Amino acid sequence: MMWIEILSRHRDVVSRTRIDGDAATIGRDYSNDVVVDDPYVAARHVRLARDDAGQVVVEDLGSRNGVRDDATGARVASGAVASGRVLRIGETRFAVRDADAPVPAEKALPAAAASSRTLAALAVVALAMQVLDGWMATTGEFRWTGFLLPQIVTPLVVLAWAGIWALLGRLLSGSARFGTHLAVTLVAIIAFDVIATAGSYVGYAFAWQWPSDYAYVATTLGLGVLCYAHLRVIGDRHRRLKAVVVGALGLVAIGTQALTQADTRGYGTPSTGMGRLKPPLFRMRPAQDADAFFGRAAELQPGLDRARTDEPVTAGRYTYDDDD
Amino acid sequence: MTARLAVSLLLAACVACAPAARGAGHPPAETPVAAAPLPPAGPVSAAAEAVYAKVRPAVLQVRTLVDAAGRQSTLGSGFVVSADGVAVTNYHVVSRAALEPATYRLEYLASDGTRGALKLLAFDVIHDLAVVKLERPATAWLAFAAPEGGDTPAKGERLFAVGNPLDLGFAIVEGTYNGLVDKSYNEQIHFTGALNPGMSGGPTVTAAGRVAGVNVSKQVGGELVSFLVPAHYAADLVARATVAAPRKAADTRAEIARQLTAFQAEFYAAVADKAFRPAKFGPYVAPESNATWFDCWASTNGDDLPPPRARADTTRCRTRTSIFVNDEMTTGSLELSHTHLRSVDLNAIQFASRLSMVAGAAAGGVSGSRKLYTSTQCRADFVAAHDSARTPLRVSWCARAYRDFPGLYDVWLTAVTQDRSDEALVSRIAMRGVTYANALKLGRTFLDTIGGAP
Repeated sequence: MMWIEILSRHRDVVSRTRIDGDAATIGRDYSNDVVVDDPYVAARHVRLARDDAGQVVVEDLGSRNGVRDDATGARVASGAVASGRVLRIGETRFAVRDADAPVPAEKALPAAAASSRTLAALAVVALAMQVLDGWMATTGEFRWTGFLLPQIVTPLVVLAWAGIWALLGRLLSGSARFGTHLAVTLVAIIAFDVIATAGSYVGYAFAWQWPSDYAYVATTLGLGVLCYAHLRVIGDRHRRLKAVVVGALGLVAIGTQALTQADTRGYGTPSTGMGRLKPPLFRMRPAQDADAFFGRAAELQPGLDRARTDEPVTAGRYTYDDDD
Repeated sequence: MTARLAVSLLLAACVACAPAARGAGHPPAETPVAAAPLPPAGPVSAAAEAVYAKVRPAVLQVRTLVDAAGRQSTLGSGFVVSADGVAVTNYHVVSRAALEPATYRLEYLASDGTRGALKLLAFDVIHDLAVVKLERPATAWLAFAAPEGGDTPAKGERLFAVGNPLDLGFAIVEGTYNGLVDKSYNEQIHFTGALNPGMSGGPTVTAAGRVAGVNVSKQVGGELVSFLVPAHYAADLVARATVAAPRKAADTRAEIARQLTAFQAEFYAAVADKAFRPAKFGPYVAPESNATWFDCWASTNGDDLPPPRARADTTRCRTRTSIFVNDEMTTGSLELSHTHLRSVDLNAIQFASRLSMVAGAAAGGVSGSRKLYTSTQCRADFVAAHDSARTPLRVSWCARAYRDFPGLYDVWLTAVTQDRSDEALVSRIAMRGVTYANALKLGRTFLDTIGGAP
C-alpha cells in the first residue's frame, strides 16, 4: 500500500490517492490510477511500483518532458525514490508516501481566543481612559462634536489595525484570530496610556526632563513589542527571526529619531517642562534655593560659549514662530 | 490759514536767533551752504522750495551694491556735513557693506547726478548712524542744529525731511516736530511726516536748513508717525570718526559687540537703578519696573464669549529699544510680562493643562536664524520664592549665545507659582542682547520679587 500526493506550487497537498496494490500509473489518460489535468503531462507518464526489497521505483513511461526532481529540476533516471521526495512531471508535483511515513506529533490547541467578555472589558477600559484624558485636556468651551470625534475615530483605527493583522494571519497561517489581535491591540493601548501618563506625572513631580525627552524610546519599544505580539499570534514558528527583525526595525527607528532630536534640540520650543504642568499636589521634589538654581543657570554659559564655534551652522531657522 | 501763519512766524523767530553750528569737526571756516537764514513767513510751498534748493546739493542717495553684479541691493539716503566729503547716513543703510565687505560695496549718487565710491568711517549701531566719506571734496554741506544754543525746535515747528523715497528721485517732505518720544530709553524725535523706504539716513532740517535729525524709521500701522535720530548723536559720531584711527573692515563685528556690550551695561545699570516695584496680581505680587521707558499693555479674556473657563489677565511691558544689527537680527529689548490665571470652573487637572499652555508659550517663543544664534539651552526646577511663605515656583531659564558677538546672549526666565491648584501667576522676563552676568543679576532681582502677596 502507498499514498500518492499531488502537491500545489507551494508544496501544499492538493489531493491524496490511496493505492492498495504495489503499482500505480500517473497521467492524463483515464486509465491511470491518478489522473492529472496538466497539458505538459503525457497520457501515461510515469509508473510507480514496489520492488522486491519493498522500495518504490519510479519509471518514466516514455514521456516527452520526463520526470524531474522538484528541488533541482534535473531529470531523474528510473530508480528508487524515498518516501516523501517531491518529483515533478510537467507542471505537476507529486510525492509517494509509505503507510509508515512519520507524521509530526499532535499539537496542542492554541490558547483559547480572548472571550468576548474579556474583549468587552478591555474595550471599555481603553475607551474610558481615552474619554478621561480628553475630558482633562478640555480647558476651553466644551463641545460634544469635538469631544466625541476622537472617541469614534480611535475605535475605528483600533479595529482597522487589528483587522490588518487578522488579514495577514489569514494569508500566512490560515487563521485570522481577529479577537486575539484585537485583545493584543487594546492591551497595548491601555499600557501606552498608563506609561505615558505615569511618565508625565513623574517628570513633573521630580522636575525631570528625561521622561519627556526620551518618551520616543518608550513609544518605539512599545510599538516593537506590540508588533512582535501580533506576529506571535499569527504563528509560533521562527520566533527568534521575528524577534530579531522587529528588534532591528525598532533600533533603526530609535536611531533615526535620536539623530533628528540631536539635530533639532535647542531649536524651537525649549524643553523646560513648562508645557506639562500638573496640579501642585503631585510635586515631590522640594523647592530649591534660588542661589542653587541661579548657580545651575550660570553653568550653562561655558557650554553656550563653546556652541558659538562648535555647533554646526545650518541654514535652518528656529522652528517656533512668534512675534518675538 | 491763521494757524499756518503762526507757525511761520514762530519759525522766523527761531531762525533769527540761531547761533553758529556746534561741533569740532564741522563746519570749518566757510559758512555752510544751507546755513543762511530764509526769508521769514511767506507761503508754505515757497518755504519748502527754498529749503530744498538750499539742502539739495548736500543730499546723497546711498546705495549698497552687490560687488560682483554691480547692482543695488539696498538704498538709502545721506547728507554731506563737511567740505572734505564726510557724510552721515543710517547704520542700517550700510550694514550689509559693513558686515560683508567682500560681497557688498557702497556708492553714492549726488543730486547733480554724479556718483562715486563711499568709504565707511564709523558707525553707531545703538543709534543707527554711520559716517561715510566721499572720494572727492564736497562743494555743499549741511550744519547740525545746536540744541544747547537755543536751536531746539519747538513742538509743532515745521521740519523738512529730505531723501530719495523708493528710488523715485530726491524729494522733500514737510512735517512737524513733535518733541522726543516719551517712554524711549534712547532719545528719538517724533516727526509727523511721511518717511518712506529709501529716505533712511537723509536729513530732516529746520526751515533754516540746519539738520535737526536723521530720518530713521516710521511706525508701521501709524499714519505719518515717523522717527528721527537727534542730530547731536550724529554730530558726536562725526566728531569721533574724524579723529579716530582708520577703521579696519575686519573689525566690524568686534566693534558691534563692543557697542552692544557698552549699551547693555548702561541700560541694565539704569534698569537696576530704577528698581522693580512689586505689583499685585490677585494673591500674588510680581515685579514691574519703575522706569518710564516701557510700553505697557494689559489684556484680559474676561469679556470673551463663551465665558472663559479660566480667567487670564495679562500685562506686558516692553522697551522700545530695538537695535538693528543686520537684516535678520534686532536686539536690545527688555520685556516683562505677567499672566494671572484663575479657574472659573476647571478642575485641578484641567487647570494644570490650561496653565501648561500659558506657561509653555511663555517659556518658549524663541525664533531666529541658526546662523546668528546657538541652540537654546535651558534649566528648569522648583524654586522657593523669596517671600515669607517660600511659595513654590516652577522656574525655567533659557539662554542662547550670539554667534558673531561674544559675550552677548538672549535670556528668558519664566516663573509659575505652584501653591494653588486653581490659580497661578506666570511671570516672564525676556532679555535680548545682554551679558550673562547682567542677565543673572536682573533675573535674580526679578525672581526675588515674585511671590505671595504679604
